Amino acid sequence: MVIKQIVLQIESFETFILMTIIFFVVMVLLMMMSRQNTKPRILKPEIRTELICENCHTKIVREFKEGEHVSMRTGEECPRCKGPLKVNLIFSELPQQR
Amino acid sequence: MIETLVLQLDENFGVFLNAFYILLFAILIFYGQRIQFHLSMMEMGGILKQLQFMANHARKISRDELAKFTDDPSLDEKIDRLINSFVIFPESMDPAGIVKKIEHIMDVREAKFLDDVRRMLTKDIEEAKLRNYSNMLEATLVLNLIYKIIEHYYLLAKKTKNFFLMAQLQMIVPLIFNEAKSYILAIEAFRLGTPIGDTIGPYVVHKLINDEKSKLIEHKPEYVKDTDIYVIERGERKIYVVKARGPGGNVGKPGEAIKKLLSSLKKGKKTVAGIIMIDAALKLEGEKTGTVSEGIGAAIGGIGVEKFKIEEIATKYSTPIYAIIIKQSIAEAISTMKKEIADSTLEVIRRIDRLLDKELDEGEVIVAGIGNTIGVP
Repeated sequence: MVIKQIVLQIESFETFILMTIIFFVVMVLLMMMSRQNTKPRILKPEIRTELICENCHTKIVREFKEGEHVSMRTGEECPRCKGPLKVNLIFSELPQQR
Repeated sequence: MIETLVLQLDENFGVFLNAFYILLFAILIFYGQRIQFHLSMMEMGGILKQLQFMANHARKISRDELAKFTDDPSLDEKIDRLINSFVIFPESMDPAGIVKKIEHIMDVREAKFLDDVRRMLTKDIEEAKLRNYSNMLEATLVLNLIYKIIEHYYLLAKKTKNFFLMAQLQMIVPLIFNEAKSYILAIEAFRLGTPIGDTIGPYVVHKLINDEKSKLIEHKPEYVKDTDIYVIERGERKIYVVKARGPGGNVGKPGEAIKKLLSSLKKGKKTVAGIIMIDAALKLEGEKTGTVSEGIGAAIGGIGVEKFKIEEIATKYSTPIYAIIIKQSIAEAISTMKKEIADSTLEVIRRIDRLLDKELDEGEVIVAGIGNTIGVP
C-alpha cells in the first residue's frame, strides 16, 4: 500500500497553538546546537611590512617576515634607485580591508 | 492503492491542545526561572568550552614556540607553573607608603617572570626575543586566568542553582569573551615581535628622534632600568626623549626616568617648560580608531606606580604635564598595530611641534613615549 499524501485537517486556532509549540521546540534546539560550538571564530589579520628607501623615500608594502622590527635594514634594494631599504612600519590589516 | 490519507481530528483534540496550552502557561509561571537558568547554563557551558579552547590554544602556541629554544623535558611543567603563578598585593589598610610596596612587589615579580622564562630555554636566544616570549607567556597567563575565573563562577552558580549569579555571568561574559579573543591575537603579536597598538607612544618618539628636523645630541642607554633617554634638538628647543628600551617587548620605567631626569635638570638650574606624554588610550565605542586627542595630566596606564611618580615630581617642581593620546580599543591595543593607528604618527608630531613652538614657555622639554616598545628599537 502506497500513501501519496496525508492531509491533516484541524481548526485554525489549534493550528496556531500547535505551530507555536513546534516553533518553541525548534528555537530551543537551535539555541542548544549553536551554543555548543566549541571553536571560537577568530579572524586572523595579515601582517605587512612597509619598507622605505633611505635615498628616495619610496615606500613598498610586502608581507611581514619574522624577526623584522622598525628601522631595521632588510638588505633589500629599492626598485627605483637601488638604495637600501629599511622597515618604516609593521602593521596588520584584516583580509577584507585590502 | 490509497492516494490520499485524510486525518480528520475530532473535537477532543482541540480541547486537548487548549489544556496543553494552559498547562504550558502554568509551567512557565512556576518554572520559568528554572528553565531560564538551565538555558543560561547551557549558553555559559558553550562559552566556557570556547574559553577553554582559547586557553589551551594559547598554551599550545606558547609551548611550541618555546620548544624551539629548549631541550628541557620538563618544559610543560615549567610553563604550567608560570601560567598559574600569582601576585599578592600589599595590605592597604594603612595606605601610607603603599606605592613603594606595590613597586617593590611588581619589580620582583617582573624580574622573576623573565628569569623563569630564561631558565626554561637551554639554547641561546636574543634578549629582545626573550622579552617577547615573556610577554607571550603573560598573555597566556591572562587567558588561563580568565578561563579559571569564569569556570569558578559557572560552577558556583550551578552548584548553588543561583539564577542571579548565572544571569550576572551571562551579562558580563560577552565583554570578557571579546577580551579573551584579543589576547589570542596578542599572543601572535608577541610571538612574532610585531609592534602592537600600545606601541604607538614609543613609535611616535622613535619617529621624532629620527625625524629630519631633529638632531640627536646624546643617547643615554639604560638611564634607569629598561629605559633610555635621547637628547635631541628640534628647532630652538632641547628635548629629552624618554622611551622604553626596544625592540623587545618592554614598557620600561618611564616614571622613574622622568623623576630622575627632572630632578637632575632642576639641580642643574635648568628651566623645564613641560612634560609631554604620548600614549595609547581606550576609545569609546563610537570613536574612530587612531583619533588623536590632547589633554592635561599624566597619560600612562598600568598599575599606577609610574603615574604616581610623574605626578609627584611634576607637582614638586610645578612642571606642567601635557598628554597626547591615540584612541583605540582594547583589542587593537594588544594586537599587531593597525594602519589607522600608525597613520596618526604625523598628526601627533604636528601637535608636539605646536606645543613646542607656540604654547610652552621657554626652556627644555621632556617628551615621553609611553607603552610597550615591542618591535621598535
